[in-house]
Amino acid sequence: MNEKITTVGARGVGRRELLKILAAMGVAAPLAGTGVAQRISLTAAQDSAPAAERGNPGGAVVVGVYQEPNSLNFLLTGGPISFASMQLSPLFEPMIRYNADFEMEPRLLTEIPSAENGGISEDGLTYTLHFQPGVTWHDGAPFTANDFKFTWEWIMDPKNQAQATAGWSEIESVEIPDDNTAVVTLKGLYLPWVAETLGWNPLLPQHIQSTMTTEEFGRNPVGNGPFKFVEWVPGDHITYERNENYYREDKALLDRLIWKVVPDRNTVIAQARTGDIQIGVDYTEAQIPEMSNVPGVTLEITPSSNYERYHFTMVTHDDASVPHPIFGDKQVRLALTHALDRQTIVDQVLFGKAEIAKNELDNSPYENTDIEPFAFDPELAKKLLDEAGWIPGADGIREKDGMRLSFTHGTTSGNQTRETIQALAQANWRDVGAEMVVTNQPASKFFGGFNDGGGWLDRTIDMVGFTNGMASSDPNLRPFWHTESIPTVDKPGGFNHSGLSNPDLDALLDAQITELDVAKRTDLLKQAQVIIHDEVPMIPMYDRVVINSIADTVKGVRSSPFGSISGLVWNVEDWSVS
Amino acid sequence: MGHYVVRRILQAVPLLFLISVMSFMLIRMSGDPMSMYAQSSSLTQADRERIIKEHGWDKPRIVQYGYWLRDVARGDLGSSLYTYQPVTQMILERLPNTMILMGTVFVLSLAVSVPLAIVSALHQYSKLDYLITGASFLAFALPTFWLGLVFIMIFAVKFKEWGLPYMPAGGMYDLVEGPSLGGLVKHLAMPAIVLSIVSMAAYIRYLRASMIEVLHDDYIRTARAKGLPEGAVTWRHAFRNALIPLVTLITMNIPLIFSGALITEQVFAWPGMGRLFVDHANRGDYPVLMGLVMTVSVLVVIFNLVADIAYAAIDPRIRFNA
Repeated sequence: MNEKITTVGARGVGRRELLKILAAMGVAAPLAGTGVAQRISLTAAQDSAPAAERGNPGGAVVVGVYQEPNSLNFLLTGGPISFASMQLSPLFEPMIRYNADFEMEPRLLTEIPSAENGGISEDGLTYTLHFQPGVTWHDGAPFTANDFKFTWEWIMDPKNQAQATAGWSEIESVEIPDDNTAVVTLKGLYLPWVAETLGWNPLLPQHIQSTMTTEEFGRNPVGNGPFKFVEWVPGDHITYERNENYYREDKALLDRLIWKVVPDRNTVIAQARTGDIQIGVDYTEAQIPEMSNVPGVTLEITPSSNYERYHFTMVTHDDASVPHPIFGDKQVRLALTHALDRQTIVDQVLFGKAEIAKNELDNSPYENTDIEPFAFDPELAKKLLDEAGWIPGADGIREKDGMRLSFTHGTTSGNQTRETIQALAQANWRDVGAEMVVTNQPASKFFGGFNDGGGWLDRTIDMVGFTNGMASSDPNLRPFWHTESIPTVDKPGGFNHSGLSNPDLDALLDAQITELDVAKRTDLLKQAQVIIHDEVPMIPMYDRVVINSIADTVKGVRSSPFGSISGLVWNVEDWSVS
Repeated sequence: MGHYVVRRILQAVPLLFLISVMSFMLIRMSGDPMSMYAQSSSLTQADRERIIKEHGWDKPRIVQYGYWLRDVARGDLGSSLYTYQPVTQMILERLPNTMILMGTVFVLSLAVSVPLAIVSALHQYSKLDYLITGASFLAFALPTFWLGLVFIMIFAVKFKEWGLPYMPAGGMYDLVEGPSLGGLVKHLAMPAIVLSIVSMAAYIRYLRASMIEVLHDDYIRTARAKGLPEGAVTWRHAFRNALIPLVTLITMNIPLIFSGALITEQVFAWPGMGRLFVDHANRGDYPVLMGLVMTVSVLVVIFNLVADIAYAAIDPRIRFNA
């Protein structure tokens, strides 16, 4: 298409392989050994690839972001896969990071704990962490393993309002035999611990954080990463400068790194074109044509592990045991899936930059590759609807027992890409005699809770569209597809949006969370995918990509697919300007 | 008059209370703060339940309003659910930026619209009048976000492409060069002009109508009849009387200087109060939204009162009945 567009997948690593490394994020590669520890081992980066040429030091890069971080304290930002972790990782050295090839690299740790290097005990409950010596916080105080222990205690103390405790809450005790070592004992066997707790998570300085509230520290952060915090002017910009005392030989090249808050995405484009910003973050697919031919600017497109999906509402809002009047019938769900021309959507709305999504755990090592997406076949769709008793009425819309085949479809309002796709879907479904009525909600309402009118899961909308995927490091599908995960008035938690309840699926999902053998667990997950596919609770639409614009004067940017948007900054110390 | 002011202030209390109840319910209905955490995979189900309990979101909305009111009664507007900062602090951080922008717009639009309106009224039905009224109709109909984007496209993007001196596309000053007065003026120009164009239109139409009405009054004819020069008729008699409704309009518009521009601040990345509102409305961050709504409500009530007092001061026909 356009030579100004580069896809990360094309730069060395194939997209499939790239996403395969998702496995490394949490769960072991199947190993020959028999000990538990060996099964929890992780794939680490090979001894570094030929070192890329570093640019010249100096200069500043301004990055335009449409969303301002809420805090620079990771306790308040919602975990490593959040927008704010883009601003966090240049300040706070992560324990482990993911490079552009989606491989783990130890950073604050000297090595990734595994059975082979003695980092994980034989029973899989004790982890020994070795930290880099000679690391200092930005105020000059030494970083020690005590900061790890402190961070854990701080997160688990409810008065500090930490949002996310995943991984940390599994810790039973932490012992510090010396300044560079922490010995962690878990409450129980927990396979994703390394990925959830160590993966791209920073640590807090005990000597400072303990004198401030969580919120105060988030405005005056003292980190240990390649950049130091300078100032934050709310609503306008955040400035960092090079940390001259960085513990690694490769100090940051840029003198300054500036985050400019540009809330309107059209203005982001204008600023990228005028050179007010050198990097523009996370464009929508609809903006691709406008950004493709800007002189001096290259678009970088990185695949992510998320995909857009349309969920059928299969049961009613009030009672999850009562089938939905239209979508309670599998035949109708299947018919509408066959009626939808996803390839045209991908080609026209997404400019061919995405692929049709296939099934849950798409593009992961747990993917059941035997499953083929349902083909576009409107004739088959009509036949299925005829068989199900839906007969075309006077206006062309099908009817059954006095009920019209008319349903509401909702997603986040104001999203141009989503609204365009809705229009195409509407036409596709109209062609087979089904009427789709758009009822979009603002994101702050749509993503709300079951009892707060959150349309994405409260089953008041007949079909809902949003993006989700294997965002977590672990392929556990239980929170999304188990009967117990169906949200109800009394039990509003859980993310089984469709309300799918299948006893065979429940049994598989229960078995996989306690199955220690990775090969067996993968097999259980693959069987679960077959059931999910056959039940047609949702239409997997398309894989999402992350689109950034990078001025040609900026060198060294090479996004990591991990963390989606925040993957941009994993190697920020290597960025330079010419 | 003292009695009058006291009575008006006392009347404002139930009014503000009603505003707060209605705003709280509407804001809580339009967005759920848990939507911020919806797709954060690092939050366990226990984390979500803990957050809901911590804020009392499992309680009925009227109880949640009670919590809010209790804190306000203690002089505490609460903290943002997103940034965790005190709402008062967030408002004070943004207020100066909005005052710079909206204050400029206020002065600029009056400075241009008052003379234009007078010229227009004095030459009613002339070509110039048609031009001015036509242009102000058009300006009034323009959406600011569109006008803003067009300005950016022409004066920032295209001017740069054409090799002309170009304007910055947004923000308050150049981040690489650092803050300076010159930089501020340069960044202020486009958003201030866009907003002025739209608000000017309203002032012109208002003042022109008022001026024309006065010019047809009997006392103007009398003034002319007794042989006053036309300048004295226009300025001493007509303009002074035509100003009365304008003063009311201006006084009642003063709260806008503090509340900012929702959309224009968004388009030009101006870190003001309007931006604060939009950013936090998108997250259901009701303490911030309530803080902003109540701040503006109080200002509106105050300046309504000021307008009434000013009205009496400039128009001797009006007396207060205490």
